[in-house]
Amino acid sequence: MKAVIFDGSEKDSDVLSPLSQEICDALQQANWLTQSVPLCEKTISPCCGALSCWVRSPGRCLMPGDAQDMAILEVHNDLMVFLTPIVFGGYSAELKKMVDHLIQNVSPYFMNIRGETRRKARYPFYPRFMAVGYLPTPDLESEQIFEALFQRNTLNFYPSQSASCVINGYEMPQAVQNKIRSCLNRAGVAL
Amino acid sequence: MSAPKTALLLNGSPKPDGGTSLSLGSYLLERLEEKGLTTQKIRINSALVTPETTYKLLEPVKTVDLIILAFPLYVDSLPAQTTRALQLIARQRALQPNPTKPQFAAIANCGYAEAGNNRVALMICQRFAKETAMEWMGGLALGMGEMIAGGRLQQKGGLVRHVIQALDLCAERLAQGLPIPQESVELMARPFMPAWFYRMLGNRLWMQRYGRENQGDKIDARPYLPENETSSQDDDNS
Repeated sequence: MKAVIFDGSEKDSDVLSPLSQEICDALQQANWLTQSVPLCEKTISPCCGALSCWVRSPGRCLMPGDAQDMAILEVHNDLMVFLTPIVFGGYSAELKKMVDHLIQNVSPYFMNIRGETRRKARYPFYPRFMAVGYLPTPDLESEQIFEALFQRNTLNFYPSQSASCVINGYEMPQAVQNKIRSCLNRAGVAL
Repeated sequence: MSAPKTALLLNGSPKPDGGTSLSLGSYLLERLEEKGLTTQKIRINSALVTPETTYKLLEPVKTVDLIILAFPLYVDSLPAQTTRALQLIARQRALQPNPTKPQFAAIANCGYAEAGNNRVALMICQRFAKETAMEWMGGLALGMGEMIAGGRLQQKGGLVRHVIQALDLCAERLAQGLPIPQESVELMARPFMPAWFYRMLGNRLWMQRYGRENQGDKIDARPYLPENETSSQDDDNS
């Protein structure tokens, strides 16, 4: 089984490194192959909204840079992890520049799922999905927005299982470890 | 709450023509101009290119009375560059000794039928206002944004009547320094047509666009399908 961790840390910030390491360690103990991708080191142009990846070259973003490779990683892994500092309740710009390009992995066609309009899936399988947000201090409102965003994403990413958690800078290492392991479990990783 | 004298539209649409976000934001800005406000527009994606152009985005934020952020929904939240712009503004305000307290309003639009898809993005905008000590004036959410797809709202006919009413009401209140009224929120969220019809129409329009622009691949192509799954996919298609 394979997992990719998309690390949305800002350049010159290593605050998420221990969390990334914790996720990797837990997965490796469960015999998963892991790959951590520091997005600040990738060349990903902002999605320009042309939607060529739906019509000109269906399923493929033709913008130069690493956007295509990131989308391939989604489809080629069994677990996709978003790791991000929580920014105004949402994802960091570094993570979001990658997330915006994941639309190439769904179809332009609409469908109705439980009374709501969604895009059809392009692939038969998508990875399990997990999001880990980091806050320097506890903040319930930010956590709630983050969870709401994560729930919306699960409707678009078609994961078989998904889970999210928020870690704050005041938590002790053992509590962080427990939280991440519990989150991995809920996302379908047997530890 | 004091009546603003200046307003700045931040257009978060990555589309070069500004898309629906520019249509909505420009209309609102024009109404504010009519009410005596001095206005300015900045396209975020053009601004975040060099330090010099970024400065041109950040500098007016220091002094403006009312900021209006108009943006399309990208994967359930704000586009990456719009998020980046908000992060830069927040950083600037944190370093300023005595930052002003501008008012902040947002207009979100999405390609899905339901305006409610914009809810989380507007929560993020509200949270931004809180963290940067701006005054949150409220947000408007539009579904079926593709029905506008750029251009001047005034030229879109009766289809957008409720959108224009929403923005007129919104301008009325914002010009007085008052929050966006609920009536404006409800008018903006009113669908252009039944959701089932929008989905059917949308799918047809995608098919037409595919027919015009495609270079050979199927619209439901799976170019990244892992190799061990490609053979079964090929079988399915045979």
